[in-house]
Amino acid sequence: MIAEIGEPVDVSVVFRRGKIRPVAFEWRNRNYRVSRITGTHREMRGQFLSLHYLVMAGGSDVYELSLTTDGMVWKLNKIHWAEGEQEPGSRPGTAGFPVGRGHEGRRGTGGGTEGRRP
Amino acid sequence: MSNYARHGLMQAADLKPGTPERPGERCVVHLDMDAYFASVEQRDIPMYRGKPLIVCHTASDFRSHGIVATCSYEARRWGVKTGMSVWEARSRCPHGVYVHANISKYLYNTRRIVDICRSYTPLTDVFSIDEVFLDVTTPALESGGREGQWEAALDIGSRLKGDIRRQLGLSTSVGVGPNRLVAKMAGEFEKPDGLTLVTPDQLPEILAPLPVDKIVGIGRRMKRNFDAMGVQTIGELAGTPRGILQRRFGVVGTLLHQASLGVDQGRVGYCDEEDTVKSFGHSLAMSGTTDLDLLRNIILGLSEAVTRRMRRDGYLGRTVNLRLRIGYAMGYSRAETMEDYTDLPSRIHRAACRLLEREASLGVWPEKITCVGVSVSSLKPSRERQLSLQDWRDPREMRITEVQDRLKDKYGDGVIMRASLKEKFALSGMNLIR
Ligand SMILES: [Mg+2]
Repeated sequence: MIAEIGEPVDVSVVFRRGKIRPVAFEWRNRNYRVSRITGTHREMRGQFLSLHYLVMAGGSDVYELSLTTDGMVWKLNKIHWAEGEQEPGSRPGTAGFPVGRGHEGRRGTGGGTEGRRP
Repeated sequence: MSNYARHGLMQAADLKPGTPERPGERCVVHLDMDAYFASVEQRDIPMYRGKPLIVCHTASDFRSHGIVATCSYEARRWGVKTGMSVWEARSRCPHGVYVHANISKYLYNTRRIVDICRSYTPLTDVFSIDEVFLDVTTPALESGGREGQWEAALDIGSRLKGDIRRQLGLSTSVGVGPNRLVAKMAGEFEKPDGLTLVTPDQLPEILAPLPVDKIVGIGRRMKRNFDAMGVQTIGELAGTPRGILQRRFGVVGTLLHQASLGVDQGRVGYCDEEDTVKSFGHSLAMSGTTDLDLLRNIILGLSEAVTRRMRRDGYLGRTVNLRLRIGYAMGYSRAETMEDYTDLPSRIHRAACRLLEREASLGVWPEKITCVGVSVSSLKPSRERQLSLQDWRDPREMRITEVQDRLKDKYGDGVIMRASLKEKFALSGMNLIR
């Protein structure tokens, strides 16, 4: 299933050897730590460059993030999630964990991926 | 199993030592991405791997509208095919995963594939968004000499496959042969992930027994013609006097006769060089159509793309060239020279449509049109522009084009387009295949 999101998100990135790698993002007051980048591509639209990242955050969901140099805005464009699960964002325990608890709080709160699937 | 010739019709050991020298014999590699769009999506979104994945072309809700752009091999087992309506695909494969085509993503991957190809030889032709021809004669001769030329070409094909798999995680089918036609046919023998060589020696023996529609570009229409003539195999086609084919198929007859012998005189990697300086051109490859309205519309999009580049580089032109490809490799072109020099899309579009309509009325298309190209030549710098009477009386098109150019420069070519071109031009690899 695919959810069209199109919302601005806060993204933490690492700049390394001329490349940008997102490591975490915050969406709807939850933090998602990027566990894997499955694909990237870039595209020029006029004078603006946009960078696209497909990332996973611990579970099987894939998040499509993009950065455009038009305003330097990061967006979460889409989420792909497995059939038979609740839509991301409406789940009580998603791959993300509430902002402010810190990464170490993830396991204990049931907000991590472990609490999500039977 | 040796690294090369893994799926080869010919194993390296079968190569005859001391094959007689044939001056000018070329080694051509044809690269075809397997289920391209679907493979890119399955690579990027792991949960779609092993599932019937259907990539759709449509601007709106793909539950009801649109066509199948590509589907994964898992979906093909359910009878889903490229070009089928999404509606029909859904009835055949209701449990499939349906996603929108993301052309800019595929173009990005194609550019990287082409870069990999160019690391082997500068002589490359991008044939469509997922197909590239490479002329590897020089590197093959350098590493294998005349005797080991084919073995070396097969090895290049194998390394190319490996590079694309390692760097991009995508699977390809590669055919190797003495020209584009044979290389492409060789590649068709084994898919997916195939590597097949057909040498000139093997040609007659391999081609003759094949059904005639194995020649790339011969589809149902031409097949019916051949049925009526009693021609079933490529061998029988080769035995048909050329004059008969010419009377029946016009221009295409000669090409068909050559194709039946495995002859294709087109060269790889030269068309770009010849074209760039003297003309501006764009072409669009498609699955095949004879719908004149659609073709006119495509020509409009091409005219806009061509004139935009002319305006950017500061040129006016007055000879319009329309190139049509029928089936595969059966291409020809027609030209018209206008009175005035122009860089406006409507003039180019009108001239190209006149050429199209004339060709259509001659009824010489035995198969569907698979590629349309528009180019403009007889150029002069725009600073020598003389306002034509028409533009002086009605400068609206000039003004609106100028505003559009400014918008596109800033926000990209997709920011504004004619309503009639919406959807169609998102589909294309047009910007890649100049
Ligand atoms: Mg393909």
